[in-house]
Amino acid sequence: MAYVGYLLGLILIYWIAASGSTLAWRQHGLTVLCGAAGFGIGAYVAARASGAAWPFGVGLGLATGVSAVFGAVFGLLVARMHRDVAVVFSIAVQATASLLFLNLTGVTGGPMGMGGISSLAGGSAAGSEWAATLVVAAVAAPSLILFSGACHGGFGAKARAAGENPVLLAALGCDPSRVTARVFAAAFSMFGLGGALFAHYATFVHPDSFTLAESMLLLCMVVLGRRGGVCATGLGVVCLLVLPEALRLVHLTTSSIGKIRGALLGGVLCVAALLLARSMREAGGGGQ
Amino acid sequence: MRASTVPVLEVRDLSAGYGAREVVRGASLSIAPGEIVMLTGANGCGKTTLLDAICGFLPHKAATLRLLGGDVRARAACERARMGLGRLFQRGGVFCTLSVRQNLEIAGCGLAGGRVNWLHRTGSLLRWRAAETHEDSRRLLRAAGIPDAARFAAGRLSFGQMRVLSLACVFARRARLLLLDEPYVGLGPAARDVVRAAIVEGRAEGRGCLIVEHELSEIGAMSSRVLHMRGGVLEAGSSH
Repeated sequence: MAYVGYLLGLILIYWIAASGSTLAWRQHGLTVLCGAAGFGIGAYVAARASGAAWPFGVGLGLATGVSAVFGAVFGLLVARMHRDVAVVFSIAVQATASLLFLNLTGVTGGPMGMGGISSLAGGSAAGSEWAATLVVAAVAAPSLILFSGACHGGFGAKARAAGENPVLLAALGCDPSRVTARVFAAAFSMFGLGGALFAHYATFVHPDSFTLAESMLLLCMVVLGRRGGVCATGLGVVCLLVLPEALRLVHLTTSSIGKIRGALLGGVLCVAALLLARSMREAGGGGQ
Repeated sequence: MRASTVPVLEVRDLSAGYGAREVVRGASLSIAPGEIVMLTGANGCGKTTLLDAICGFLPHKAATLRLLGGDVRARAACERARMGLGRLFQRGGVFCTLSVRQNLEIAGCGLAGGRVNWLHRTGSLLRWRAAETHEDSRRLLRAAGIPDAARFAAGRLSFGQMRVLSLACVFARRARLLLLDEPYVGLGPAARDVVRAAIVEGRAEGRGCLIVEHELSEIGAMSSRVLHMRGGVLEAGSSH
C-alpha cells in the first residue's frame, strides 16, 4: 500500500509538470523538448533552498519563480524564431541544461547528485509515503485547478492566438512576443513547481532525472491526453507512469521494462506527429 | 467642441519592401478625420505592402509617418494598433482554432485602455470579461448568419463567413483609422450593405479609412479621393 501512495504522489508531480507542456504544445502549438530543464531547475533550486534550511514554502516559491523567469526568457527568444527552429532550439536548451546539471558540481553536486533534501512527510516514519502524497496533493490540487482555468480562459485563448497567427494578434493590439513570454513563464513555472515537489518527494536529485528523455516523457503525457487539456493530460501521466509498474506484475525484468517503455514513448511520438498534422488540417479546414 | 483637424494618417516619402527588393517607393499620403480614401492598382503593384508598412509589419523608411498626430516610425505593430489603427487582411484575418466569440474578445482586448485596473487584469487571466460586442460587428455577424456567441471554432466557418468575422473583429476595435484590404471579397449582398453603412457612419465619428479595392464601383462612390498605385509609386488620384 505504501508503494501505491508513493506512485500516486509521483503521478501528481508529473501531472503538474506535464501541464506546462500542455500549455506550450496544445495551446501555443510549440513542441517544447526542454521541459525537463525547467523541471531540473525547480528541483535544484528547491534542493539548494532546503540545504540552506529555508522553509519548504519559500523553496517551492523560489523554485517556481526561477523556472518562470527562465521560461520567460526562453519565450522571448522563441517568439522571434520560426517554429521548426524553435523546436531545435528547445532541444539545444535541454542538452545545455543537462550538461550544466552534470558538470556544475559546486551547485548541483554533479554526477553524485544532491541528497539530504527535507522530506515532505516531515519526521513521521509510519505511513510517511501517504503523508508526503497528501502534501503533494495539497499543492497539486489548487495549482492544477488554477492552471486549467487559465488555459481554458482568456490566457489560453491568447496563447493559441499567438501560436497560430502572431501577425494578426499584433494587428489587434496585443504584443505576440509578450504573450509568448507569458505562456512559457507559466509553462516553466509548472515545470519548476513539479521539479521542486519531486526534489522534496524523493529527497534526492540526480542529473539523470532531467534529461532529454524526461522532456520527451512529459511531451508524450500531453500527447496521450490529446484534446482534453490539463485533465486529460492526467490520463496520459497515469498511462506512462503506471504501465511500467504494471509490467512488473508479469515478472518482466527492469531492463525489459525500460526497453518497452522506450518503444512506447517512440510510438507515442509517432502518433503525436500524425495527430498534430491532422489537427492542423482540421483547424485550417474551413473556408473552402 | 470642435472636431480635431489633425490628420489620422500622415505619410511622407515612405519606402518599403522585402529584403533588398524595394516594392513601395517614396509614397506620400494624408487622410483627414472622417475621410474615406480608396487605393487602386494592378495586382503586385505594392498596395498591400504599403498597408503592411503603415501597420509596422515590414521594415520601412519614411520622412514622416504619423498616426493621429503621433510619430509612429519607431513603434511596433501592436503599439500602432493600440493607438487606433485597425487592419483588415486579405487572408488569414481570423484565428481558426479559436471560437467566434474568442476572436471578437481578443479583438476587443487590444483596445487602448481596454484593461483599466489590476482587478480587471486579474479577472481576465481566468476568464474573459463580458465584453460588449460593437454594434457594427453584431449587425455584420447577423447579416452573415453567425451568432456572436458562437462557441464553435472559427476554422469551421465558410470563406465568406470568415471574412465577415474578420471585418467584425476590425469594427469591434473601434479604431480611428481603418486600413481595409479588399473588404468586399467573399461577402454576400446583406453583409456588403452592413459594411458600407459602417464605413459611412464612421465618417461622423471622425474615423479615417484607406480602402484597397480593384473595382471603383461601390467604394469609389463613397470615397472622397481615389489614389492609384503603379509599380510601387503612389500617383495623385481623382477627388470626388
